[in-house]
Amino acid sequence: MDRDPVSRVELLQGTLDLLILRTLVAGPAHGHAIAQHIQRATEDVLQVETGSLYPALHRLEAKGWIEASWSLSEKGKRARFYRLTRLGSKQLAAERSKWEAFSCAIGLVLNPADEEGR
Amino acid sequence: LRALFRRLQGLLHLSDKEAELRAELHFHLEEEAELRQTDGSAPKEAAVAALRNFGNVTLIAEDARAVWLPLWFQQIGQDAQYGARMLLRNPGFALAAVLMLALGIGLNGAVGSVINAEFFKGFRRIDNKRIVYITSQKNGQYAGVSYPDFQDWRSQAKSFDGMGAVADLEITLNNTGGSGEHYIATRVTANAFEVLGVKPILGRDFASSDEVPGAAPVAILSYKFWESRYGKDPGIIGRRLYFEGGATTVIGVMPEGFSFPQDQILWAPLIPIVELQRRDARSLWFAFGHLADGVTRERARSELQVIGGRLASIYPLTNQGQPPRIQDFTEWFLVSNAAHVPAMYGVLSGAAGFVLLIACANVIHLNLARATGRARELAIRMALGAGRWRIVRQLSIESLILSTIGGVCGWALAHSALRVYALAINPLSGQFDHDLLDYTMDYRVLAYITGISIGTAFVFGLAPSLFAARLDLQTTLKDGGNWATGGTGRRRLARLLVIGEIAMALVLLTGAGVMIRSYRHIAADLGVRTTTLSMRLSVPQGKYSDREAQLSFFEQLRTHLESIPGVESISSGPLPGTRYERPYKLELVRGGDGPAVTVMTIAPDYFRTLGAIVLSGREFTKTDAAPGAQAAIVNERLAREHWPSQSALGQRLGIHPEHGRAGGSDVEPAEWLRVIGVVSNIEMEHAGQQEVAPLVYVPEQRPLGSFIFVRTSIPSAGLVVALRKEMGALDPSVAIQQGPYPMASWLARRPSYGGIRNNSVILVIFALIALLLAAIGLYAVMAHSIGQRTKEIGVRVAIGAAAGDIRRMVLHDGMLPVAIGTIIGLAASLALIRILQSQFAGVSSYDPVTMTVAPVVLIVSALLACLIPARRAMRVDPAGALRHD
Repeated sequence: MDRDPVSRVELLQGTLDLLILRTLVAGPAHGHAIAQHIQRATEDVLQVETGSLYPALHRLEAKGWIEASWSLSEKGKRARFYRLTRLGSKQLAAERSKWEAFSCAIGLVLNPADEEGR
Repeated sequence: LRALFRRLQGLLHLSDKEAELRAELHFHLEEEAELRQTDGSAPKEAAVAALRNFGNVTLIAEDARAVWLPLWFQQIGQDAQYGARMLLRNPGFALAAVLMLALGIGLNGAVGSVINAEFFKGFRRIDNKRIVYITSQKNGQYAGVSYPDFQDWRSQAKSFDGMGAVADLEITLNNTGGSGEHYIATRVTANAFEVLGVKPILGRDFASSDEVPGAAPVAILSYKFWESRYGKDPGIIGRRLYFEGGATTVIGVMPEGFSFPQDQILWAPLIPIVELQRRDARSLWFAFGHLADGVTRERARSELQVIGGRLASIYPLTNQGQPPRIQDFTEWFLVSNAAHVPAMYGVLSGAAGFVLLIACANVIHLNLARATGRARELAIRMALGAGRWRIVRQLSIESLILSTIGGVCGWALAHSALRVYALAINPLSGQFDHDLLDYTMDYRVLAYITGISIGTAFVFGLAPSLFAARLDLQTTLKDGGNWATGGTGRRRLARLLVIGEIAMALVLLTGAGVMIRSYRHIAADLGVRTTTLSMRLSVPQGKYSDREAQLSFFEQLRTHLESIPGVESISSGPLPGTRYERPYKLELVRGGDGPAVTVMTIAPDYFRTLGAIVLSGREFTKTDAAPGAQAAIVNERLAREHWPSQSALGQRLGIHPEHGRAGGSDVEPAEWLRVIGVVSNIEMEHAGQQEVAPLVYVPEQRPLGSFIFVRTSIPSAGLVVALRKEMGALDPSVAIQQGPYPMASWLARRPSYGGIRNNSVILVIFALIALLLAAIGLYAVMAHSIGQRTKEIGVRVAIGAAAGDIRRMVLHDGMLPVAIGTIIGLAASLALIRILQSQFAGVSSYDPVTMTVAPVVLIVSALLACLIPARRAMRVDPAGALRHD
């Protein structure tokens, strides 16, 4: 079931925070669900390592961007649910525009517009 | 701030958070397993796969935890636990290291406490920051205080809440049995305790009516005296004490721990009798004032300067060039002792520092030896992924644990060392002198001890840490943990340490030797034999009351005592250097007025018995005491001052009491005398620190009131019994009231001399400890190196080395660093002696005895330390050694 290593992409430094915040826009979720969501949404291209997920969640919580509470999962088990805070939403917006500017810039380098004109 | 708060909260709810995190990760694993089960895996396999996919649970938990709890914090806890376990597994090492450190830290702590007490804290129970000490000075030297000056300072200065004054008083307390004891007491102005802010715990304070001339004599006892002599009897108030012929009523007892300004048994009011009313009679010890609120010492100083200037213009004869000087406790304490005290403390701290360094070097030796065995452990830990810094930190924490325990033990050691020190201060009475200054260890000493503990951990922990950081994993693991193969660096370090230890021990030894010789030099310079015995007699009232009876009794006593084997001569006279001075005026021209002079009445053979040198002329004989003999002896100082270019012998001089009051003296007013001898200066009081007073000696008429001196040719201890027996045979009603003490014990009470003696003894103790530690260090290194080289020695023996060859090899190995260390130490000692010479009297620049004895002692000790391991090396069994490992 593991995908071919080539098609797997390493997460860029700092992007995991962005992905977590974006995932939580849809509503509160626990760690496993967040990981699953990211994996599915990227069609298994991005696999979130649990080794980075939980430290990241706790770090975001410490920064006050998300908050955690214990409640029952859909299967009726106690799980730690993370919810986006207002500070987190603001942060998401900022990170998002930063990311877009970044990916746009990378795109400009990789596909220069004047190349076709040569 | 918020982050900090959160972190603090995190620390408070550590266990809750831990549980939550575990539950969270557990939930994740379950979810993952379920997810996989839906993919069609068996439950068990799914769980295993989930776990495999999850990764290292502990590591993830640790990473997540690091968010709210810094990782280093968790790890330090682990390291400390692990370190403690490692130390417990090797208790011999831990014990040895802790002992060494405790010794080093303890000595430093004790020296620190002494300096703290004597420099910073001051007298117990008074506000040392606001109390200042005021004296007159002449050419920058202490010059006492006259009562009129004190009165003017007190009435004119506005900077003080109150001002008191102190005069010394030596009393002989008469018991019911007729014998008496000599004690130190203090006269104080009636307001003194009020100025100091201390109230009697029993009875009342002095009132101003107690200090008017003719007032009924009263006294306030010290707590210690009240406790030791009267068993804290609350009925002491109103009791009478008899001293100096009069009855004195006890009116109060001061609180425990209050002992100002010396170790006195009682305080009596300072009554301004006629003798004190003269402005040139600076016989008060000092004045002191309590600074008023908001007044700085500088303001008080300038105000006193103005007052002093005014007094100098009104009384130019007595006050010109003798302005008041204001000092705080530290300055006053140092001046009232001697100028060399700070230097002495410098020497002592330096010595204690050396001992600590040697102790550290030894702990490094131990650490290195242990590191050999631990190399494998550390290499395995590193192979398992421990970072080098983690290992370094691990070792540092172990060092810290050691030094902390060492520090605590050192603190306890310093505590007992201080008690010994306090005991040794006052060897004469054997009493605890602890009350005078506050020797208890306060926060400053605690901070100091903590500081040096951490500092030492850094010093001795550094080397093993650095070696660990450079540890080569592959060879270490392959070599089976034996570092001997790649241990040249460590062996070089060990050798360097031995060189350093030997050098430091040698410097301490020579330093101690030089100081002891300096002290003996000072004793010789004082102009007295320290072995001469001194005692005071108590004669029943009415017996031998007239001059003839006294003189004939003294003659009998002299013949009796001189018959004791070992007794060379007997004399009588005042104790040299007592602060007691009779105000006399010297006349060089008949009827003229001359400078003040001190007159002492002495019996024949006084100088011979005390060991002073008669420079020209002769001593008194029996005939000089006859009326009309008119003979006088002057000291060198007086002779040089008044007859600088001619012989003093045959010169005429007159002495008369300053105030026309004889004060119980036998010298008739304005007696016209002829100088029959000049004698060397006796400097007992000042030990080369201050000028000697000009002295005139006249023949003793009533010898029984003075001290009796006995010059002996054998150690005096054995003579004491014989002396007492002879005295009893002569006249049982005459008792020895005080003594017999050798002069040395009187000297010990003089701070300038006793201080040097005490400190020299302390220095010797430090030097011996250093020597012992250095020898132990050398032994440890040699024993370890022999242990490491068992195999090599086995090979040597197998190919035919004789036992002697092996011993030679080991000794060469051990003594080479000793030789180098000795040379370095000797060079350093010469430099040290140069420094000591500039600070202390009587230090000779080249001291062949010390410079020979110290290295010999050191080398012999080093040889012993090497011979023990060498013997073991000689007994190495080649077959066994080769099978070793």
